[in-house]
Amino acid sequence: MLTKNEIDKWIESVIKPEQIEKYLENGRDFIDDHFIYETLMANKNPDKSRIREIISKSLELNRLEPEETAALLNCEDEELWEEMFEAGGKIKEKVYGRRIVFFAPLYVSNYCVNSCVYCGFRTENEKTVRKQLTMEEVEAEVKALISKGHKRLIVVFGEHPLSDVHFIAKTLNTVYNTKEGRGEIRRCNVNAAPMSIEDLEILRDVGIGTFQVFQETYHHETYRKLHPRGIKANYGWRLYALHRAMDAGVDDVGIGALFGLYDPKFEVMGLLMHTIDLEKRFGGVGPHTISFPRLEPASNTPFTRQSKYLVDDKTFKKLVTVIRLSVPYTGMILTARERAEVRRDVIPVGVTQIDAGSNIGIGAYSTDTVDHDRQQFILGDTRGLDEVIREMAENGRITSFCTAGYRCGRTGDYFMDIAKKGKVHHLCMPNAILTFKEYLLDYASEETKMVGEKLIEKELEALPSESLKNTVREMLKRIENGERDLFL
Amino acid sequence: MMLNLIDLIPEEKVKDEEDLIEKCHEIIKQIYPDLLIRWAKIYGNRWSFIRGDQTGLSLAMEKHQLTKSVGILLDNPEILTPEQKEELLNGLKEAFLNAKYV
Repeated sequence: MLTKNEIDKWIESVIKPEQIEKYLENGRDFIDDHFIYETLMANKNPDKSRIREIISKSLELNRLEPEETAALLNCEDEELWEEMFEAGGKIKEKVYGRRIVFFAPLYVSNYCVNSCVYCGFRTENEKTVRKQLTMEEVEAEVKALISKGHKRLIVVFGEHPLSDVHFIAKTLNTVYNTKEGRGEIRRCNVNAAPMSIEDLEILRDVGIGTFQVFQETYHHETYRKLHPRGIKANYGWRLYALHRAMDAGVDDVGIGALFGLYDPKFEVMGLLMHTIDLEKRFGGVGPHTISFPRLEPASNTPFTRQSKYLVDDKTFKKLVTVIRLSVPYTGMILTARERAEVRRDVIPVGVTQIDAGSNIGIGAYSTDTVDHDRQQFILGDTRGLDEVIREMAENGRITSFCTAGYRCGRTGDYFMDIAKKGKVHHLCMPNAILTFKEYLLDYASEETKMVGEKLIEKELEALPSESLKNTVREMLKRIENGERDLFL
Repeated sequence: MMLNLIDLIPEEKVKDEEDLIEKCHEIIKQIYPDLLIRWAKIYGNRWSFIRGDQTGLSLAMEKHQLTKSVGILLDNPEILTPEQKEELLNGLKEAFLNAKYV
């Protein structure tokens, strides 16, 4: 147990004020609360034609401006919302095709120095059983995940000196070096405390996938109230975490807001402002993914049920749609926090990545147990990976475990360029077919195999050229003959 | 066979690795204007795009590691004969090995 003095010293050693100040403009960060309020106010009661113009702009894969996003958020016409839901789905298909990327979260440590009032991991929560995995335990967890068919992970760490950059780097090395049968983890993303450029360079060097830091709430005052102590109490250090990642050469970053802490319209505007600032500073490269978790119940955490900003299912779908329309070319993540029925309803409006078969207890995959006292919150969709993959396939969505992009230079501005031109699926659909085939051969139930093989045939036929079809057919044969990890 | 890229960078000082990449890219484009080539920094599994041709679709992309930290991706390697490709790759490796930065 660390003393307050030790924690304060650690925080002081981590936060580098100059690595916040260098990004400020006239001493201010890019979240101007008054501008957001005023923009939301000035775009109330938008007329139909304006909303339709904005939808058209999104359909052409252009990022929206704040006043346009504000107009969408203020729309009260249900008929227009139906048009927006449809447009969200079309945009997603135009940019990413009918594929959906699957990943698994791996919680490595729940030691935390923060006091976030909504979080089960907060330092004051004595009901939480604290644990940090050893490297042997990480290996056991990874083997359990590989044996289900996973290829992509996001490793999650509490914010604590025990989970410093060296521990995270060691974890990444362990993940990448673990093999099980014919499988391995090919891309490992990280959700961890904001860190300095120098520390992020260490993660870059060990082959981090996406670095993900959620601001939780962009509203300054709410942020201050909900994060009273710990390293997370510093709004600016967190806000610029991904700017520092980009400066460190980690050119895939993921932003996010936790709906339920403050006015969700403000949070969507915050996500957009964050996107705009990243694009402005890094040659048009914005976030690789946007996440929009909703506050979920957590053990011994009453705030999660009492917040006046909790978002209902209907509103949630609208918010996700506005994010899709606002940043048409960016990946969007909907996790198993949400119940299955919510996921069924929301995925079609533009989600690109989901998890399934997730267990967020520390060390819980290898033991196949559920222990709410070791979890940050309680999951809503507890179905197994195979079941969710099958359901996706039945609905015409092909599961992708593709990790080719970041292993062959399709990162940063190269990725953004092809995403903005709607070309991502030219490569990603063939790669989705190839990784789906691997899954069907190595891990799927008979029922899923049947549905999956039919879908592969259908998607093969839909590929845009004969030469591409032939190339993919040849690669599928090689996979059937035992080769793995083939990609375009 | 080896394409002597260093000799093709006449009288110029190479500032650093990025500058060398820039110069090599320009020379290769003069010799093989139709070759689609991308440069990447290698960090473990991650090949981070630095510069090059932004095509979006390749049926025969090839990855080649030149040094511990630099790689190239050829999106249409089929336009080179095997000899030309070998010559190019050997030349690039040699250029990076012998580069003197000022």
